[in-house]
Amino acid sequence: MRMNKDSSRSGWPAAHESPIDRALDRAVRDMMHVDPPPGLRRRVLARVEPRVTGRWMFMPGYALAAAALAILVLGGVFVREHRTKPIQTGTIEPSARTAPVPQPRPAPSPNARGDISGRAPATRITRELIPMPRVTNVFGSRTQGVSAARRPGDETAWPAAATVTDTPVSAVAPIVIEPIETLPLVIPPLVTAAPPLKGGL
Amino acid sequence: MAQSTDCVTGTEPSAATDLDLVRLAQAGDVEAFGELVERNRRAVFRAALACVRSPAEADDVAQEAFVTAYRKLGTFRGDSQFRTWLLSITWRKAIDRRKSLSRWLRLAVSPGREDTGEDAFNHIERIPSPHRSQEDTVVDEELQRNVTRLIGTLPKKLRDALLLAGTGEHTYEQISQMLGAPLGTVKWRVSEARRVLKRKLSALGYAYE
Repeated sequence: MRMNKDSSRSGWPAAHESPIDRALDRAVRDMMHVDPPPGLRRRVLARVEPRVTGRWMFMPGYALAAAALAILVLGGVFVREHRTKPIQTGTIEPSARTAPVPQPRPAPSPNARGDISGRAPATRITRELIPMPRVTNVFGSRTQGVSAARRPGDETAWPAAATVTDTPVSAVAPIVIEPIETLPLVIPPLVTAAPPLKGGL
Repeated sequence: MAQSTDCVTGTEPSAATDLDLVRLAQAGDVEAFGELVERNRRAVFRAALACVRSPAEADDVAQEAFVTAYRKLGTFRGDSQFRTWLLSITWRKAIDRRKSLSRWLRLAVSPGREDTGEDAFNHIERIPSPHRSQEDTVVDEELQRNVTRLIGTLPKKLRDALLLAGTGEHTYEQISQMLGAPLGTVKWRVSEARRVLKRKLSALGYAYE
C-alpha cells in the first residue's frame, strides 16, 4: 500500500508495523480510496467549453438590473401621472363643466311648484366659489352629502349643495325655463363721421 | 523520502506529458484539458475528500477546482508540476468549502456539536478489499468504526495530513505544497496523528503487541 511505503520512508520503524498500525492503514484506506463519481470529465468540460460565451453568463444579471431599473422609472412616471390627474379633474366642478351648455331640466312635479315660486334663481357654482374640502370626511354626513344621483323631485338631498356653496337653502331652486323671446335683428345703418381733410379738399 | 516519481497516478500511459497537454489547453484545446482532467481526477477528488470528508461535497469541489484551473491556465508557467499546481487550487477550494460547511453546520444543524466527523464517512461506499476475508471484516468492523470515529476527533492539521497521506495519490511534497507546511512538518503530523490514534485506541481497550 502506498501509505505503508511512505510511512516506512518517512521513518516508521518496522517494529511499529503492529496490528494497530495495519488497522489504522486499513481504516484510512477505506476512508480515502474512493473514486470520484463517473462523468467528472464530462461535467467539467460542460462548464468549461462555453468559455467564449461565459462573458454572457452575467447577462441575465445585467438584464434583471436593467429591467428592475426600467420598472422603477416607469412606475415612478405612472405614479406621478396618477397623482396629477385627480388633482386636475377634481378641481373642475361638474356644474362648471355643464354650465356652458344649459340643459333643460325636467319639469318639477305639481306638488313642488309652490316651493319653486318662492326660491331665488340658482346660483352658478363656479370654481372660485367652492373651496376644496380638506376635512377628514370629504363626503360629509348622509344628511349633508352631495349626491350626484339626485332624482327629480327629491328635494331632501338638495340642501347638500347649499352646504357646499354656502348659500341658503331657499336660494337654490330648479331652473325655470321661460320661453325665449327673440327680437328681430336690427342693423343700424353705418354712419361714419369722417373728419375734414387737411388741405381744403 | 517519497519523491514525485513515486506517486501512483493511476492514469493511463500517454505519449503527451502533462505539460504538453497544458500547452495545448492554453492554446484553446478543450480536449487536451479533458485529458488533464482524466489524468488528475482521482487525485483531485481524494484531496477534496480528505478536506471536506463528504463524497458529494468533494465532487463539487473537484469540479470547481478544474474549472478554476482552466480559467487560470494562462498563469501556469510550468515552474512546478501541473498536478501540484492543480492540487493547490483544489485544497484552497476545499478549505473554503469546509469553512462554509462548518459555519453552516454550527449555526443551522447542530450548534455546539464538535466537528468530530463521526458520521462523515458512514455513507461512503467502501471498496471491498479482495485480500480481506469476510471473517476479518466482521472481526474488525468494530475496530474500523472506532478508528473512523477517532480520526474525526483529531485536530484538523493532524487529520488533514493523515488523510492526504492515506489517499495513495499524493506525495509528501504535494501534501506539503497543499498544506503550505514544510515537508518535515507534514511527516511529523502524520506520525503524530497515528500516535494519537493508537493512544486513544489503547484507552478504548485495544491492546496490541
